Amino acid sequence: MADQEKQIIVTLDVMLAKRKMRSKELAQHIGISVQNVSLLKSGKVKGIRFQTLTKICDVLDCQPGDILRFE
Amino acid sequence: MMLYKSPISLWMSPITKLLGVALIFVNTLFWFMPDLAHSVAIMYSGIDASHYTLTPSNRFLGWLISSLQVSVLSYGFFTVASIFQDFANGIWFADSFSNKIKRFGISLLIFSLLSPVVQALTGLALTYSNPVTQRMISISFEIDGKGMIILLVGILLIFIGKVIAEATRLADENSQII
Repeated sequence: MADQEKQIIVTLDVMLAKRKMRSKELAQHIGISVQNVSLLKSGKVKGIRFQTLTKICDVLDCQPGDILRFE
Repeated sequence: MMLYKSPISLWMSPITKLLGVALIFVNTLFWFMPDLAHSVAIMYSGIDASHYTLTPSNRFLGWLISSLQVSVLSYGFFTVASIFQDFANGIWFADSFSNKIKRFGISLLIFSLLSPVVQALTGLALTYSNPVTQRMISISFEIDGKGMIILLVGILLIFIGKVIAEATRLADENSQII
C-alpha cells in the first residue's frame, strides 16, 4: 500500500528560483509554451520527454534528479 | 483535440442532413404518388404488380414498413452530419467521434440486415387484401453488390470506430506528455 502512494514530484520551481529564471524565459529557451511549463511545475502531466528534460537540464545547468524527486 | 477547421465539412454537414431528410421525403412521395407507387412497391416487395392492387391502405402499410428501413439510414446520415459539424468546428479527436463512427456503421449494418425483413413484410402488406390463397410473402437473402458493400462498410466502420477510440485515448495521453 505504501508503494502506491509514492510518486514523482517535480521540483522545477525550486530549480528555477535557484537559477533566478522565470517560467517564460525557460519556455523560450526550451521551445515549449509557458502553459506547458506551468503544467510541468505543478506536476499535472503524465510524462516528460527525454528531449524536454535534456533541454531543461541544459538551460538550468542541472541534473534530472535536481528537478525530479521520488517520494 | 482541436486541429484546423475544415471549410468543406461546414458545407457537408447541412448537405448530409438534407440527404437524410430527402430519403424519408422521397420514400413518402413515392408511396403516396399513384404513378410512382407501383415501382416502389415492386422494389421493396420483389413481387410483380400483377399479384396485388394498390389501395390507400396497403400503400400506407408499405410506406410505414419501408420507412422503418429508410429511417435507420436517415439516422446514419444525421450521425455523419454531426461528424462533419465537429470537423467544421476543428474537433477531430473528440471522445464522441468514435461513437458516432460506430453508430453510423451500426445503422448501415441494420439497414442491410433489415432488407429481407422489409421485403417480406411489404409483400405481405401489399397482398393482404387478396383472397387467402393469393396472399404472398417474398423472402430473399440474396444480396447484390451494393448490399454487400453497405454490409461490409457497416462492419468495417464499427471496427474503425474501435480503432479511433484507441487513437483518441493515445492522442489524449500524448497531449499530457511534455
